[in-house]
Amino acid sequence: MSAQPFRLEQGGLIDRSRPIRFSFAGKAMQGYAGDTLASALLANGVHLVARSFKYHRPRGILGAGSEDPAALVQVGRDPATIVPNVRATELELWDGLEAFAQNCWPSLQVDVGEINDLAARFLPSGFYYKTFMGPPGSWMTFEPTIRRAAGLGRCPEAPDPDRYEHVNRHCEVLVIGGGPVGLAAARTAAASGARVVLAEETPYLGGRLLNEAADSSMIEGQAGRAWVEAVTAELAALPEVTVLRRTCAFGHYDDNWVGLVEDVQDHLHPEERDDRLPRQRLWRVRAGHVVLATGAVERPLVFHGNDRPGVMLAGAVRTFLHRYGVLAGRRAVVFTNNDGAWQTAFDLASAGAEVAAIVDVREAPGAELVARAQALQMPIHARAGVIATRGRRRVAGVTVAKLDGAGGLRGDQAAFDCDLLAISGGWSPNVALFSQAGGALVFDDAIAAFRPAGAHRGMQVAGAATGTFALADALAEAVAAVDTTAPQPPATTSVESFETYSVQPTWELPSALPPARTRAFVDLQDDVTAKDLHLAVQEGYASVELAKRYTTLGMGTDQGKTSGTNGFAIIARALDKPIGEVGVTTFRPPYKPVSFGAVAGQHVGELFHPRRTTPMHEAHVEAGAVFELVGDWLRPRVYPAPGESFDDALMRECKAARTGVVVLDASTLGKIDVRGPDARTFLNRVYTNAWLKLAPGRCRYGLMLNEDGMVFDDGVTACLADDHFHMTTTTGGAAKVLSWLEEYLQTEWPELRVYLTSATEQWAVASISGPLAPQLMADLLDDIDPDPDAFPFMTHRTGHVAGVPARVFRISFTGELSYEINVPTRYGLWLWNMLMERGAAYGITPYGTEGMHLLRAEKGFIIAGQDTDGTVTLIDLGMDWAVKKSADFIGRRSLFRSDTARDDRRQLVGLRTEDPAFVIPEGSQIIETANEQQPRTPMLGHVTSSYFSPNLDRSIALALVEGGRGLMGQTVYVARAGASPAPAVICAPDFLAAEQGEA
Amino acid sequence: MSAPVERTPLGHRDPIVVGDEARLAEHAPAGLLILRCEPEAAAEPFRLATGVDLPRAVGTTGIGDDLEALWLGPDEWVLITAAEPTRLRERLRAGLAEQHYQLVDVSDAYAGIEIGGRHARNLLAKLVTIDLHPRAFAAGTAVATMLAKSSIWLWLTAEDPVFRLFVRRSHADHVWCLLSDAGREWGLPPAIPIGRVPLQVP
Repeated sequence: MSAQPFRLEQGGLIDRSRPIRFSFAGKAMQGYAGDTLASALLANGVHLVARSFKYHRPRGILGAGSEDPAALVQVGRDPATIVPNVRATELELWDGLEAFAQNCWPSLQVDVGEINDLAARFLPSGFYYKTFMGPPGSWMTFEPTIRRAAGLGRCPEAPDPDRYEHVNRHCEVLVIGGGPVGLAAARTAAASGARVVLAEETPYLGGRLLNEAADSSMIEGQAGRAWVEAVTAELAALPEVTVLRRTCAFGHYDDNWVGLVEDVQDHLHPEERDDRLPRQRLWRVRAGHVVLATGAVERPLVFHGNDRPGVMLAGAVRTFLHRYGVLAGRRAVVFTNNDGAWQTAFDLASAGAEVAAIVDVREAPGAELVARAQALQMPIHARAGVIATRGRRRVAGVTVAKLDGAGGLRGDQAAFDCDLLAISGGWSPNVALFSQAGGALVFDDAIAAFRPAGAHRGMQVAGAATGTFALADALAEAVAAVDTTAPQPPATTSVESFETYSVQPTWELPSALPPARTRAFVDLQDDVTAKDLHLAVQEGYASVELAKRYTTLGMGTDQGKTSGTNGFAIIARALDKPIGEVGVTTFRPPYKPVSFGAVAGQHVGELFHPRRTTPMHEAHVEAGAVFELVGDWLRPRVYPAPGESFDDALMRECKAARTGVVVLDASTLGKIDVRGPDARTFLNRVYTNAWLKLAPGRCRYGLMLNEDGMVFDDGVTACLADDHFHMTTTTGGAAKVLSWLEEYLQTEWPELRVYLTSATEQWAVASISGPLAPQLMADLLDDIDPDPDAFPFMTHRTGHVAGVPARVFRISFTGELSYEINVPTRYGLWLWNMLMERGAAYGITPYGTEGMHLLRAEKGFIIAGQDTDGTVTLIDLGMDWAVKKSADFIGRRSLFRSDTARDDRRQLVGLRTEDPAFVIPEGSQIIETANEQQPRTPMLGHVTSSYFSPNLDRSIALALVEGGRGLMGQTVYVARAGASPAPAVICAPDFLAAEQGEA
Repeated sequence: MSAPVERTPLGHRDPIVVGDEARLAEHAPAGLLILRCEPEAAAEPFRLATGVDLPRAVGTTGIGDDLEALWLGPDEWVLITAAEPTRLRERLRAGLAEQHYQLVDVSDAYAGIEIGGRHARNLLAKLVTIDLHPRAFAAGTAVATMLAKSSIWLWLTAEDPVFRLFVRRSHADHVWCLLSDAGREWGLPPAIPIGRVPLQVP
């Protein structure tokens, strides 16, 4: 274990008393509690941590937080919990953590993929697209290779064992960013008693105050870090304030709906993780007001060799120094176009590093800075730039040249040895969420960056996020952003020192090398160079949106946080347009990658979706039923006896229905209570048949059509009283029928006095069917005579079963003598068990949906949704008898359009296969001839339902066939995959009637 | 013939109590009736029949002796009673005889769940999107909303807080398991839904 040679004796937020063991790329190392993987690696002198996406170039640590583009690692090795593409700069260490390099083979140091780098000139921007356009087959040639090489990291390969959850939260003010600006805004907002949520992406509140020497800033008479602690304590004491650390606001959606993702446990040692808590939480925040205090992101400078490990953002160098007590290098060159990076030079010197040079592109950097640097004897190179770096896997030196101010070089070049190059191209306000929200951006020449044009619909931006860098001004904005009633100057806030900020736009440094050999990177993750952007513009991609896609600029997991502004500016210069006119690409959620687990939350596995259970469910489970989902309902499909196959059970159940007595749990049927003086008129308008004269005590089958004349739903409705009906719908159609009818009542026919209420679950329903059903019913019913003569088909009675109130309907879907017993649901399980107990004497057989489907097919009854598909009219189904002539109904007009009235439409018929044992697969196409013809066999129709009927001892099928009703007795053919078409004879759909007719 | 046995929707679930942190129990009132009527005409006869003012705005409730009316829509209420609802139904039928109205007994169609404990609001916030903060959802508030994918009525009966939640009977076990899972943080046990049975997909 190494000794952290780059760790300072003191300073930072780390706990030196708690050493942490971890390994990276197979090498054991040590860090301290409070470290990120990046800070611990730097403490150990490790800069090479990854390989780039396309060219496999060595990648180091550029930034210090979520902005870092390319220091991506793989965490863990368990195939279920392994996480790819974790930013080393955000990964908090825990004892035993194992991180691995990705996108390299055989190792990080020696990577075969580096060959791509040598071939770079053959992999220009738009390479993929060019293969599409190239010689025929070139995409086919390259694709396998591209696919193999594509992608970063390894995905988990086993189900995720971790838990995630969603939390909904409402607040008056959501503050995004826990730096000084966010803290001040949260405190001010909370003072009024408002509910405040403060989301901070890192583990620490304090933001930039943690990235500077402890005594740099004074706020309200306190040193920066002490002020942070005081405000944090103040906020913690307020019950209406929620402070979330390790929480990233990843997306802004309409009406200030903001998605936050909180890392709850990843930073803990696995043994310290609480299994009662989720791994991550997704907060769904609905905020009255959003304050963006998201700070600014430092830009790199674009010059040849700027991607070498050891080249770091100047601000990040300061962050590693002050937050983690890590010296990123011992001999540094600072290269900048603005004032900010000079502080890095001063801080490095204070920490004992040597500053080999300060290189500033500006003619005259601030006099005060120059004086300070001179006092520290730092060599200053003004109006100069770094034009190249040396070193292979770590920067070893730089070449500095004077600039001519017109994009060229002048005079001598000088070389310096260094192990750290701290660069700063200026600071860009972090406007991602503002832009996601639809806020307008302007290019501000004063800061050489895009910033919000102003506030935007319930969203305020304060501090560096809007380009206000001086701390005092930023804090004033923070207060004004939330105190809308009486904007007060921050009288209680005083700042005793902070930097001034001036910047000279510098988008691309000149190179001493020929263009073909210059490799100046803009996007370090996706390997996009300045040259690629120039090429894209040359090839006509004049819009940033197109150039982005063509070059993949900013399309990596970092979403171009450090590359965006530089890239847009380079494109603008190539187009010779102002940057503001070229604009930015659209910012879209997520701001940074969000795990699928967090998106799914707790709604996974058995909690993913409700499975509705009937009151008799428990009995079905005990009976060994096999279930299927119908809508969201769990329904028994068949009840196989121990050792019995699915098909055998189905045959047994269906035979029993026609020879004994069977029972079906029909509780799932949709039931709607319809009441009002206009109830009859209403039914008459929604059903195709006549309803005005149905007497109380009677039932009627009805079909509903859509406005387009197609069958929508069907069911039996019973008349309870002149103004009161009990409507039934299909199981799956219940909810849509109710809302559709309610919509008609509210919007089309407000004059009808009718109320509807769902009664589906009020009634448990057992459907008893078969020749022995009357005998069983006689045993059960207290006060209803089940004799079919006394209780005829399509009537209903109210009475009791063992003292329990019941409605009994004489309706049938099997074609057999049937009774539907409805009892209040609380008695449902009892009813079922009692039926089984009492029915034992008659050999009662429970049957499921599969048997129901088969039995009704024997009888030629349709199932709306199986034999119909939204293109089938009731005339197609041969149900013309259900069309009343007397009055209008929904769908009537469409029903008689010339197309729906055609007599060669696909019509419902039965099919008897020539081979009675051959059961046609449902969905099979029906053709006219014994052989398929070329080029395309005309298709006459398709099979909608198909079974082997145990009662007819042959295969039966229902089909929709063009002009089918005119083809009775004719032979058609059913196309089969891998076999010759099978002959079948067209017949009437009611197989049972045909059989009985023959007999 | 075996004597009729009544089963409540969550009779298979034992109440869960974790100190004063969170608790979950089935609470099945004896009677639930859906009332639909035109409030302009029916409010007064309703008041005469029940002594309760029909609530007229979203979120509001009308409370009487053994009768609570929850507003569900401009012409729709659920009436909740701890007593067997026959007498109430008869009283309403008599009182509303001159009205165009609908009264449907849904006592068996819904399950009732009581959620209490000091984390009740936080527990529900994991599943319900509406604002449950005391300022937005005080005792006496009731709304029809969604819990995950299930339609519910949510009613805060006491500021302790005690929530009563009503959900279609067939969804009750699913909702129970979601609530229990949401309370893991405060020690509620994970629960396996009764709907977890193997499917044979056609």
